[in-house]
Amino acid sequence: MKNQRVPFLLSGLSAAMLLAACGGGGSSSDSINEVTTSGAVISGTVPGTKIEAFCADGLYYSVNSTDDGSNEHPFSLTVSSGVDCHLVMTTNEHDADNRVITPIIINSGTVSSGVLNLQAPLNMGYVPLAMSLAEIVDTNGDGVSDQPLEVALTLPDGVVVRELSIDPLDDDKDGIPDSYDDDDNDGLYNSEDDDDDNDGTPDSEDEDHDDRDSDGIDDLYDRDDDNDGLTDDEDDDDDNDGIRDEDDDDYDDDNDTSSGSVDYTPVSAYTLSDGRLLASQCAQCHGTNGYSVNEWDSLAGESAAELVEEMLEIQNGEEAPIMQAQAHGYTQSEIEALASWLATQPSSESEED
Amino acid sequence: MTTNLSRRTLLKALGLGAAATLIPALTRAEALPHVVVVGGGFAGATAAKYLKMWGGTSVEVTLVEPNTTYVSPILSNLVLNHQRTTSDLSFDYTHHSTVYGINMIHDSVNAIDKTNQVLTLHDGVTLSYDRLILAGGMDFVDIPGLDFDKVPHAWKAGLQTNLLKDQIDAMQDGDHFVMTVPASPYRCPPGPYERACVVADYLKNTKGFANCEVTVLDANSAITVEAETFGAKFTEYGVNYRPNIVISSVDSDTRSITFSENGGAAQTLDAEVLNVIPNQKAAKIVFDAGLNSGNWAPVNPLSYESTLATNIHIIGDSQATPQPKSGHMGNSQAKICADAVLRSLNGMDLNAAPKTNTACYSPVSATHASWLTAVYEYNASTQAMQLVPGAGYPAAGAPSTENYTQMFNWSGNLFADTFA
Repeated sequence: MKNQRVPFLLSGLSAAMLLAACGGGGSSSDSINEVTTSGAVISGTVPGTKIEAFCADGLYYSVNSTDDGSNEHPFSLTVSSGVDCHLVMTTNEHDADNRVITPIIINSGTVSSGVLNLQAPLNMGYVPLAMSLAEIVDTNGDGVSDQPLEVALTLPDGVVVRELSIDPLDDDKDGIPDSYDDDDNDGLYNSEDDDDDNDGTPDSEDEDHDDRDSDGIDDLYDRDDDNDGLTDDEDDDDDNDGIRDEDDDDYDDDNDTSSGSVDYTPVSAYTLSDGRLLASQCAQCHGTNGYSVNEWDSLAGESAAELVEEMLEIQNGEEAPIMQAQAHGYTQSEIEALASWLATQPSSESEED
Repeated sequence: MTTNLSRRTLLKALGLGAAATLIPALTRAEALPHVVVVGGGFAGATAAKYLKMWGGTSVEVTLVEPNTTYVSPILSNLVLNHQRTTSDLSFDYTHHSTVYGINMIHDSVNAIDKTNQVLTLHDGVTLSYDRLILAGGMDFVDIPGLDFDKVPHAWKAGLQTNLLKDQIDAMQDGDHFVMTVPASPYRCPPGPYERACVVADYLKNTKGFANCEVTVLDANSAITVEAETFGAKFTEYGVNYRPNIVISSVDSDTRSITFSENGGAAQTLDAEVLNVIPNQKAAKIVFDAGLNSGNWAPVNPLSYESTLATNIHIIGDSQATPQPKSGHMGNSQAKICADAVLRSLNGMDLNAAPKTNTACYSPVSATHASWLTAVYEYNASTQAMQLVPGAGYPAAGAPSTENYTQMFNWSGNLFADTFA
């Protein structure tokens, strides 16, 4: 339902896309990406298709493939970087009776999972999607293939497919994201179903339903509560009920849209660093990774030599007494180790000295 | 691996998931290690954040915390004298979820199966873990007759803090405020003395009550920290300080407390506002899981792994090392623990020389604060944490307006390092 709405950026093009239909040829347009500040691009070719990504920060991305006249339409979709996402592809997307919704899982050779985490671009090549309902198994008749399509790929560095103990986007880990699961088996998948659990109470009024877009991410932690492609910060109607947030009785600014003050860079394997562990003990007072959020000094971005010199000066008693007391607790070699690590942290923007 | 997260799965389990048989068996590769952190205070929230910040996509982290909002006990004495509100001290877990990719589950734990490494949550959901970190804070030792809805402890912040604030606001000139200090070890060593000062200053200097009495009944034999600072302030404010107190009971309706002093006969004191901060012990979950020895949980301070169970770590107030129980220290230990967990999951040796630290600014009025700080090191021969010798720890600073200002820089970065 809600996430079936044509995303904001595409609305001006939807009529043209409708006329073109699948594989109809003729119309073409530039591929359109949802824009994020730090995104990773998934590309490939498909039959005429709507490509959707559901990401664990609650963000939703979608794009329609570009009809270039061939049978393999290119697409390009920018998704959250470093965040687990699921892909779903829909053919005949504008024909509600005949659309074929195919969840995607990726086989990397070692892992087969729908959980895709990108910190680098991924070209999926041609994805051979089913074009008619006759080609898929769909026991409940909701148009969603019961069997995810497994795509075998050799993954580039920075792209990971993984299994999770808890996958909020796919609670039952059947490879079908919660949005397209049909919990009550009523022939309507959850995001199209106003009453996911068939208890007679609409989801919007149901106390056990705090996930308005049924994407599996509770609204509290969903950066896009209604999966309309606009983050709640940008969206002045977070629940897509047609009532502007400022006039909406059920509006709750859960402040979940901040991308945070810390630049979180996921690593693929744990790296050992005694200096980092020592420096982490500075963070209680000087901020995570040495980035202070107030007028106390940031430590990031200074050279190791400067930091060591300052610590030794402080030990000898020119600075704030509490820092002097702290500085006495560390040996010269510990100070050098923590300073070396802090020196690898880029300067924060507020510290331009 | 059992993971039942919602009614979705429940419905499937009830037989509605006919399609399940049609799903192809996925290639099963080794799943990511799953670390579950229980408790979202300073220790647990920091551990979860640093596990993901350092472990990235190599580890899956779930934080189980009943509440969606955390109210910091740090600075909460400033709610009593109207310098801050509890909403100023409230934090949520948004960044944990959306920035760090931590699974947030707002529920409590019913049981820990240590053998199979499975948690059962209150709503029946089960979670498998490779490593479990318990950061449940502390619990109170029972006192007969004590009803916290009438006699607040205000030692876990939030509703309790506001209840005590409202009671203090209702006081008239000549009324008696009586509070107790628990026996060491307890959460936030300077906190009770700080509170006595803040309340005495508020009654005397803000409300202008010349005849209110403030009595401190201390289970310890003397002021446990910053004795010079708090002793001088007690004299200045006319606080009636009575050490060596053993409480026997409380009448919560009449707000009277029965106790012995210096081992003497039982006596009773009545108060208009009674603030009893009971003696403390490890969180209930530690006792339920059989991870306590006496009132606290013994751990290896190189990793905070329980000495009584493998793959279960205990940080913050509940653990038994001699480091002070405080939010700052919980944050500090959480990083040692997070690093140790990631090392052990990757087959690496533990850091053999961890250092932790504590720092605390204590308001003694609406304008002045003192501070206390120390650095701890691991002593390989005793296998215990100790104050770094020869550095004059614990170090303290006298109350000043400058320190009152600096207090908010300290807390601001500590809050951000934990919750942002």
